Amino acid sequence: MTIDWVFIGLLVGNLLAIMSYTMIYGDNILSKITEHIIIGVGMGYGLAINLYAIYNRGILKIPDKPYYIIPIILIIMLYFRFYKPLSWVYRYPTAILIAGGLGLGVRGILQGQFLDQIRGVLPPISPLIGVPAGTAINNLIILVGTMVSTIYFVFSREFKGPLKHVHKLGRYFLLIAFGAAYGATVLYRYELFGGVMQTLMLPEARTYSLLFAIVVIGILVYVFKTGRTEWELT
Amino acid sequence: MIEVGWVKRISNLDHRIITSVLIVVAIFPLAVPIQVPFTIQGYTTMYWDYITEIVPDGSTVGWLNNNVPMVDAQLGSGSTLTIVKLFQKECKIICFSLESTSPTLTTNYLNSAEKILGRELVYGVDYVELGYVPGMEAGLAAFLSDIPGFLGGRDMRGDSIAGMPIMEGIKDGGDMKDAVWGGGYSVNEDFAIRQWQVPYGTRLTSQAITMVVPSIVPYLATKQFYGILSGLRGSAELELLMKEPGNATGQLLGVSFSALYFVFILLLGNIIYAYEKITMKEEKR
Repeated sequence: MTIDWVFIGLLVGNLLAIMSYTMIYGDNILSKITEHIIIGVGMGYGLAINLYAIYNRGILKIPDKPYYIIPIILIIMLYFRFYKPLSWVYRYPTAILIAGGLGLGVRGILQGQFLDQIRGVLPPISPLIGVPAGTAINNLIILVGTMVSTIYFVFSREFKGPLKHVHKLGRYFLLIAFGAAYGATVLYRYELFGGVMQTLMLPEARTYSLLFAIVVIGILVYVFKTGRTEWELT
Repeated sequence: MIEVGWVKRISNLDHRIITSVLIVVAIFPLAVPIQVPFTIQGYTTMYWDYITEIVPDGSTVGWLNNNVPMVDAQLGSGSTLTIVKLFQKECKIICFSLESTSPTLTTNYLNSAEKILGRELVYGVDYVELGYVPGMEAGLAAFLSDIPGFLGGRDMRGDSIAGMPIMEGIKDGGDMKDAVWGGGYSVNEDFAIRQWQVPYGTRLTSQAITMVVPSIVPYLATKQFYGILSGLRGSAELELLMKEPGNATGQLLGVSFSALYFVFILLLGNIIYAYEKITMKEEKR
């Protein structure tokens, strides 16, 4: 008899999913166990994969490219943080990481996220005439929204008179943007939830999921009844 | 007084009841599947146009898949069907990831695509899996600046990429004229703009989780991204366009019900809040 490890993985995943959702009924032993398993597995997997990458793409290449020893030394220096007398050493690789990240980011920000974005809200990329009315209105909203939202962040002067309304309009545009972002976030969470539910309801796993749910509910009832976990919310 | 009692009871409703109802609302459409009609969004039409018309037939396409297991239910189907469409156009696909868990999913998508296509895909000719690129944005920049050098001449399986037909002439990011950016959870689409589109001029399209769609939209007008396959809805729309109804279409109703439930709770909460405010004012008078 061969063991279907993929199916076993699916069942383990489903059990953990049900256990982690018990969190909504209060912090309890099942949700805690799941949290620790997920954090442990995630950290372990990430560590193993990254160590493998460092070994294969770094350490093994040192004989051909001796300068590859530099990042390895920098990695080791990062761990000096845990040794108090020499903890200052970790600041050097951290500084290099920040500087490198900043430099890399800046090379594309100016063109890709600043100049191109300014270009993007103006004609000819976003024309207001010679296009269907719907497109023109959209482009106008984006143009006005960009300007007034930017004006909202001008803090060097007090907005009085007609300018006060521009400032207020900027705030409204920002609030609408926050609402849209929040709505998208909520929908994303529902999609995550829907995905988990779909995995639980897969035809081959459905019976097991139901069984797991019954067991988990039983345990929950037990821990709440016996007072091992507080039912009342604090 | 009785009315106020009810209002108080609803406003203090235990969140566990609200979430329990949500579970029922989300599960019901999965247990009793009903196909809901939906339209194709403009973002998906742009995405579709990109993969069907803009990407030249037979070209080599980069596919940076950053899907993690968490988002697989939303984007998995869309990813598989994108691969199918590209292979139908005789394109070659170079796969790599910035997330450590993504390469496994890449393999799954390729296997599923192979089944849908009904033909065997040749490794090293039709596609190659270069695996996990550590280092996020810095790693991506280093990888794209010298692909064979970064990999040490080996793919994810440890095979030499030197003799692979698909890797002929692939030295840096610019050698892939088109690419699909598969949005994950912690990987930011800005990385693609800063490290790929701007320095190499590669045309990009994006698969994104719903949460980050608003931050990608500004890149559409400037053609820094050609379309978005936005979350579950995008995947379902691609299933519709490819006439391959699957997981995403099945989930859509559950998510729609959940969203309606959320809107209902939101409205109810606000109505009760307003009612309480008005009642309190009247009582003060």
